[in-house]
Amino acid sequence: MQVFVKPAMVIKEWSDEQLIAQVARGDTTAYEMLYDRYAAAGLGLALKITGDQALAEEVLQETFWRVWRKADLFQNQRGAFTSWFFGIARNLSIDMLRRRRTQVQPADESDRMIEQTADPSLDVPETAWLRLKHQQMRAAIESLPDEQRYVIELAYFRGMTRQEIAQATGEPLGTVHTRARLALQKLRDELQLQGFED
Amino acid sequence: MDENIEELFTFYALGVVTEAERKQVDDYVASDPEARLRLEEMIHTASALPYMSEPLEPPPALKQTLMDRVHADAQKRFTPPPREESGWSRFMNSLLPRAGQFLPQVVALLSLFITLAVSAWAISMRNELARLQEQTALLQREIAAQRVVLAQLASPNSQVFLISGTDHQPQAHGRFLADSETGSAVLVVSGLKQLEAGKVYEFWLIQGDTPIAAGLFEVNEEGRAVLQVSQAVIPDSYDAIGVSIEPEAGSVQPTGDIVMLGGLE
Repeated sequence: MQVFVKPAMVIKEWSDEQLIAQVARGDTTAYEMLYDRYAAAGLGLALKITGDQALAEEVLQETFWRVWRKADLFQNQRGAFTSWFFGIARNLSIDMLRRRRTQVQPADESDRMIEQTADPSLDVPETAWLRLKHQQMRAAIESLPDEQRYVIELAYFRGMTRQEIAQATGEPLGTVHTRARLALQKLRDELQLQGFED
Repeated sequence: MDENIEELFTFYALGVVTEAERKQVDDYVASDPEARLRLEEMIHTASALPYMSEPLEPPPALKQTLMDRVHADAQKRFTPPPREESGWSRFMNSLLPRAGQFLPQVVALLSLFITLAVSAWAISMRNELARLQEQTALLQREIAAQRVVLAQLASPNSQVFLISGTDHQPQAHGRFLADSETGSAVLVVSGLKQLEAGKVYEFWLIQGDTPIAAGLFEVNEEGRAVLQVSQAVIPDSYDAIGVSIEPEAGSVQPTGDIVMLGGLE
């Protein structure tokens, strides 16, 4: 006796790129579907960068507002919707972080603040894949040596330049270069090994 | 290969270069296709970094505020302007004043029409209500099932096993998540082809050479599906897992192509 979660019953089965094309034509239902799909991931990213829940929510709202206003500028051929969306969220988070000079919490502390409150009305296959991506990425990042992971954290989540990282870590610029390059190479290999999907 | 510029690739991919450095890299890769590929590979890897953060459901009020703003903007930007009255409408309107002399007959006809329409509407509403009640019950059952699936995905006790496509569908891949404490298990697959009518995918738990039917599923347009296995699954009790194509009602033993296989070690 099985419980069969039948995807055909789920109406939210359009691809991200189909949805954003609809949004560009003013379709608010398609927009809401994108929100339901990526709001949690966007808020998680903004919180990891800003370390401040209120600020992260502000970032999320502004990110989605830009998705709405600039949907017609999204060019599918230049990459996936997620790259565009996360790019906006990340840039806004780092901008806000710099503007407000908020004290950033270490990544592990902001992770501890998080409670998972899954919305059962979400599109389960998409949500499941999103969660698996998070699991795969965390496993991949944990496989990095601490010093390589730290360089990636400083660059991507704190928006620090290579010179700033060198200053913060007290390491020569060349060492920072090497660590960052090796980190991305290892991440690529790990993600390929796990079958990480775009 | 200019190593000085290629040193910048990583930081370009991580989005932390200055405008001058960005231009330097852009100019460099514009004339070197191989360098462009190396850069794109790094950008591709870096694009997965957002998944390092844990997803967090935003408060419902945030969505409401945003949607209110979006609806208001949609009204302004996407609502077409009122159409000008056509020549035909103007002609019909010019006749209306003359209708006054037939008013009693028109009112009687209209009343009869409204009575008939309301009766038909009441019947259709009754049928619609019954259909909606049935649909609500179905959705409630689905939501309950989905809640279990998502809890499984979030469970720290879940063991994760890989399942891959066979030669029949090499692009397919997925994960089987089993919680050895509670026995709950979920199969999450991607890359499977949509099947012709009358066919479904069937999931199998395999003990030695004996496959045990563990659920039927279909995939969505993107080839993805999630199957919650309702029977308790202790991963140590099984050697492998598989997916085959079967007739709509499912089979006791695999009869069609085996499209996915994975070990439980």
